[in-house]
Amino acid sequence: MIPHNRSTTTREMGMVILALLPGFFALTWIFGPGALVHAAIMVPAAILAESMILLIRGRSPASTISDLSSILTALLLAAALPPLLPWWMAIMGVLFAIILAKQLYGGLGQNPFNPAMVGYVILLISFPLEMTSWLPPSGIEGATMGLSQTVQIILGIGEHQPLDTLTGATPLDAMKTALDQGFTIRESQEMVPVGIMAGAGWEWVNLAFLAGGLLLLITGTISWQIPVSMLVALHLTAFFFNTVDPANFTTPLYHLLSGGIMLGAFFIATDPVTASTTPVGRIWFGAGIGVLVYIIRTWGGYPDAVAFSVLLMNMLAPLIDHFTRPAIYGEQRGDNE
Amino acid sequence: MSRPLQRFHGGIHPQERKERTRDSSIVTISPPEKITVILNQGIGGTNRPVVSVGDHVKRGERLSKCFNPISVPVHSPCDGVVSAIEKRPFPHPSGMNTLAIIIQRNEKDLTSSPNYHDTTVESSSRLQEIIGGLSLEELVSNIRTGGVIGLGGAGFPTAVKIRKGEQLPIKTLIINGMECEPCITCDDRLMRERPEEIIRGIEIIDHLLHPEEIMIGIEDNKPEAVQAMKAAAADSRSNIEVIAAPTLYPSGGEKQLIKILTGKEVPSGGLSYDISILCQNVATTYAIYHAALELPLTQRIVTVTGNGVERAGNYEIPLGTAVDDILQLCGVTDKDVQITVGGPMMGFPLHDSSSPITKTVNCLIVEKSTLLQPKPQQRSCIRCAACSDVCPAQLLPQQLYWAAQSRDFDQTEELNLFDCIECGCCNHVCPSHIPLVEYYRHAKGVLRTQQSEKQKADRARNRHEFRDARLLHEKEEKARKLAKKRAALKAKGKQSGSKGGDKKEAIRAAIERAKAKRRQREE
Ligand code: SF4
Ligand code: SF4
Repeated sequence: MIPHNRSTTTREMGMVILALLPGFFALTWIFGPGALVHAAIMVPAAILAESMILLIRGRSPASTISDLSSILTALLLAAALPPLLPWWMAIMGVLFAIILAKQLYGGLGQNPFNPAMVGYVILLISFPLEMTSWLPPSGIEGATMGLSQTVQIILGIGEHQPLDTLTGATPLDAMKTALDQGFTIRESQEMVPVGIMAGAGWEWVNLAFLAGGLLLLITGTISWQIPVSMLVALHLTAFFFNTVDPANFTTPLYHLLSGGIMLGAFFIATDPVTASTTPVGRIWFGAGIGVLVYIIRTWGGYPDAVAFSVLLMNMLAPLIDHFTRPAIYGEQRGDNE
Repeated sequence: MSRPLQRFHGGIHPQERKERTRDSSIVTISPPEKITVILNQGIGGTNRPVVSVGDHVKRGERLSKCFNPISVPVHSPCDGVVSAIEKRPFPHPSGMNTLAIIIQRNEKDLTSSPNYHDTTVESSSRLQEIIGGLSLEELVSNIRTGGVIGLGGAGFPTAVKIRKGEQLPIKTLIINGMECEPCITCDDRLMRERPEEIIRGIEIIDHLLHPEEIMIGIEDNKPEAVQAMKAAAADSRSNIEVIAAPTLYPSGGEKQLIKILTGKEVPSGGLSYDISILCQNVATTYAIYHAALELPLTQRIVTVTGNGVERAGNYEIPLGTAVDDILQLCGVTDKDVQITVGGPMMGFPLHDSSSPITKTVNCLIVEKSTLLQPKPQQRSCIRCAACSDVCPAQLLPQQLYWAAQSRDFDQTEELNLFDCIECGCCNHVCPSHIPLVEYYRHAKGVLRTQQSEKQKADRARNRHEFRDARLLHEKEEKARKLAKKRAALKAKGKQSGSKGGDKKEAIRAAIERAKAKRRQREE
């Protein structure tokens, strides 16, 4: 009856997928085509997994798949995985994401946790070594691994060098290890490949995701509260510690442009299903992620922390919503008379 | 003159779709041969017919009387004969039938029925003289017996509103000319073509309630109406401010309009009186003027539009004219049409096109079924909160939806379901195309039934408890009386001694006899 405006769930998901393109482009440029190969494997796996579950639940897969949310989940996970992760691990991650984190809760809209991050964390806990082995950012020198070699390594076929000779820790990881061993920032930086602003290569990836994120903001696909509060909170926390003790704590900019921050801030934390829904709640939600990222990165056992932080805040989202329920019309003004 | 306007939360800009009819002058149509006057229009619902089949009725004659103060009578829009009194379909979301008086129009009457608007409008001072000759009570009573109810859609009896306003001082009188719903232009035309009558109506309310300030709010997409009302207001004895407010749906909602013009908010669950404000729609004000001059409400202006209509426009229609007659008049040839009563945001589908026009029908949208857009597929809620961003009542529509969907109706109440004005903004923006308002209407329905059942049960329980108490009381009373009597008897017996002794003797003898009999049988 009531005319709907033209925005549809499908259109919004499509927009998010579109906005991922710069990020994928940067990942491919810096780390080779691993992310693309993963996407090519994981998207069909996600669709298959979702269709299967929907059939079991007696729903029509076609209409649900067309909301694009499972494809988006697969793409987000693909963007977060190390580029040479073996294919079966990637598929496992996507299956966990779609089946365990989404469909078992009742499908889109009912899942309390961000599916892509659930998949990521399960992989990270199960395969800590593989999940932290990244290729060097060879794109900077203009020599990334070719497509066929990448496919061979991911699929585990043909002749190729053993993985561990190709990959290494991410700058964030290496930096953390160095700092943990008692080196100062300055000393650590000499042991870690550093780019212009942050970890070598990573800064470009983050800037690319930032560009996609801005596109989402401009088109009104996401609201500003979560990304802005998350980045501001991370910046302020890092700024505080960096100011107090610059020898042992890295700069805010380093934090902002390292790891999965921009992907997390604009694409993952903003997942409406699992985020807080009230305007004020979104600010707390984002800020919470920002602070947690810093805490886990600095004092936790894992080098990057976006996934854990998002999941932790997912847990708190209903509570935040409850306490930030806006005053309704006629409730907020005691001074009516 | 310009006052700082406030903004209410949320709101949307749906397509206006007013172009088609905004420049069509009001066309008065004469009563068709058969008129179906629905007995209970608006709320209340206690009308009983005072005419019977075969009676001759005159135009403006009262056809019903009502038994509670919140319902108002209905009147005949033409001279004719009552041909039937029976249940008929009427424009209502439920699609149910209700009692109606059917009048066969007199052949000759067509030309003799004067249109109210043809009579010259009284000037401000002349009106003062007329209403000055009436007591306030008489004036309000004219409005009530004239059958005036809120014509903006709610159908609340105007006299009740005014009476209430008389009790509590009303500081601000707001006249609602916003007409924010898409497609509807009847108030726009009324303001442009007949502003004096509206102003006279305002003067009557002013005379009754003496508000400190009077404002007419009009959305700024109707500049001609603003001009016309300003010009008419300038000639008035009352001090009336005409305000053009930004176009934003649903600015014509009473609570939203109050917020825009005064910055005040009606307390949750309260009414505008609670903050000394009275709101009236322009069409209602127009009707008040006529009713005060003892011309009851028997017609109203209705916008007829939509792609199924050849001659879209604003028609002044006798109340009781069948929608079918109007469709014919407006050149609806395609029978396969879908008709919406009211605007596209808050209207409802008409189930039966033989339903007559009632006082609260402000718009008919006739759309060819073949051209209807297929209903977009409903998807899962993704909790994007687009709905809460636009909700003018500042509710959390998606949480309401979750609660309503899982039939947790207590939770919906907790989430202030009853502050939802059913404006449909949330529906409009929902990317998953969830018909949210349908869920809310359903939940409200369930809660209302629960409430009325609870009330009934309470009443029954009260009755029961009362009865128990009464019985107990009666028993005690009886016992007391008996004791009293006995005491009196005893005293008497002591005095005379004979009668009571006799009785006792007789009883003892009877007992003896019975004992003897039993012994005999046992042996
Ligand atoms: S707009 Fe629709 S999908 Fe978005 S939160 Fe509201 S109900 Fe859910
Ligand atoms: S219909 Fe109700 S819940 Fe939806 S926007 Fe309007 S007031 Fe808010």
